[in-house]
Amino acid sequence: MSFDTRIPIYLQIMERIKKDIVSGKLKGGDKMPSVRAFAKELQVNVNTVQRVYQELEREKILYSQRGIGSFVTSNEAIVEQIKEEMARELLGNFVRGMRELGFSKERTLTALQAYMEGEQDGSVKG
Amino acid sequence: MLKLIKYEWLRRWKLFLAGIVTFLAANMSLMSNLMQGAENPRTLTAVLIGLCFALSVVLFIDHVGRLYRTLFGDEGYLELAVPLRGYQLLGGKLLAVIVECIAVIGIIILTIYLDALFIAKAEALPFGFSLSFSEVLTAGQLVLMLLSAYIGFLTTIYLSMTLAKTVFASFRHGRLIAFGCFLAISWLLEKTHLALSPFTESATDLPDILYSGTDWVITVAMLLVLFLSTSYLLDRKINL
Amino acid sequence: MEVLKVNSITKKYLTKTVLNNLNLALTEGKIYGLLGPNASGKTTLLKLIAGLTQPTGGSFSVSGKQAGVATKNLVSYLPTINHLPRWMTVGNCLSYYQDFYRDFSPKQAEERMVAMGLQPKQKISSLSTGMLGRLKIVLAMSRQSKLYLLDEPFNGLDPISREKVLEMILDAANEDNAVVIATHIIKEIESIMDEVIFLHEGQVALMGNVENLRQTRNMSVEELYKEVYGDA
Repeated sequence: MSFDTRIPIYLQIMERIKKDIVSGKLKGGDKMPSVRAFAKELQVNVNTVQRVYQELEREKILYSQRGIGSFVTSNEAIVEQIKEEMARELLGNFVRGMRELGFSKERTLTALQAYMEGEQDGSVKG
Repeated sequence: MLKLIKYEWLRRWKLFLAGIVTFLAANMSLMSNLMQGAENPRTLTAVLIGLCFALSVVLFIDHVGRLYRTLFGDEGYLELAVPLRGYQLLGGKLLAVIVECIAVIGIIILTIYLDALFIAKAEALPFGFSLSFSEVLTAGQLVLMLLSAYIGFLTTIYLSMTLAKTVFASFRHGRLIAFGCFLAISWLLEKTHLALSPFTESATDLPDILYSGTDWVITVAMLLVLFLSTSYLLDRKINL
Repeated sequence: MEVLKVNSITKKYLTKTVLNNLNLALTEGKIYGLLGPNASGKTTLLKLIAGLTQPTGGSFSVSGKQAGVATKNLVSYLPTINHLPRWMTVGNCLSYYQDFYRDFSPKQAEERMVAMGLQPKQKISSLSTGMLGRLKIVLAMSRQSKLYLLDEPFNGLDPISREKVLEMILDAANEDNAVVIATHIIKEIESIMDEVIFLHEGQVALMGNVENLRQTRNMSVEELYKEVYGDA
């Protein structure tokens, strides 16, 4: 995994884990690798991974069992919440971008609709 | 400390081997000359003997180089970072030198002895060593004198080089400073020795050349001073 | 706990001051990036803590021990230059470290040497720069030290060796020790350091947690470096 060195690395790793949970790559109850092993895999500092796990535990996305390790939450509501958050962020970026292009709300919606229909037909590749 | 010696010898066993082989070859060549009654030694013998001298010069330069490389070369970054006290580092190096010197003297004496035995047998001479105890004692003293003089000389060089890399480290031309230190220390040592034990001019007989008790005390004291000051500087003041 | 405490250390030569009243405190469990342009005092600081040169003023302690044999036992130092004697073989170097450092793990070193493609019979004088760099770092990192001082560990290494070196550093770093990496290749250590120390004219110009710095300044350490030192 390569990182954008302008953004705190722990945030980028958190983002990746969240994505993996949402996409189903990581499932509820899955055991996370140990801090040391994960750090080695990502080629980052142990403390960075430690922080990732701590933050994710605070957000209730991971839970730890003493002496055993960290696990992915099985709470669907939390997974749903991550999904919502990530969707909101994507939408935010999209809307901001359209605004910068000078698209009005209506035009944006029509463009989005047309794009999505086209995508269904297979005429738009993306 | 002893581990240091291991690496000193691991490094130069080939030189030692070359030295021993050359010396034995020179001796054999000389002996065969003698047995054949040649008036002048053959060229080969001369070359071999010359080689022996050359190798002893190499050994001397190598003795000096052992601390030189530590202080002025990159190897100091290894040797001086190792958790050893200054006296252990210097002691290891000097002990290796002393053992080598004793070995050289031992080999030479042994060879001469064997040669004499061989000649005696070949010429059917009634050969028997009749060295008296006092003669052996004198010889031993001579060897010890030579050895202590050599170690003193070497330690003076060591101290000079160490001074250049400690007290005078911030100056350029460290090698030149080291040489200056050497001259100064040698002069100082000689003056001190003479002041403490005036040299008697009537030293024509062999026994008179031998050190007196005072001479020995002074020599040992000087060696100690040289050793301790160099150790201290290596331990506490080194500036690579 | 503090692994290294540097108390107003000054190092002067005849005409120039290399370290100027420098203070520093490093704690356990962290990897530090020691950054700064040439002649900012990085190498001198590391040499000093390794015991190869003495301060003109000030003092330092490693895990509470004053400078001397005690600190040399705790500090693993990797110099930039080749400190391994040319006559030695790779195997000689290994036994040398084993003979003189109580915390050296020959088994670990042997495994790493194999992984790095180093053979015990190879002579130092015949090694390429890359292989020599690998050997030096294997020796330094196979000690279980309190403090690792790595001066330009990536110098002359190809990308694959660099990755292996990084792995080894990450492997050795734990909650009981501290690693200091002096380098000018910031990119290489960007993702592995906890804290960065910027040296400028023999003093600490800036020190801080890299993640926090990224968060507050929206900059990579490399960009921060350019800001601290200008484009010079």
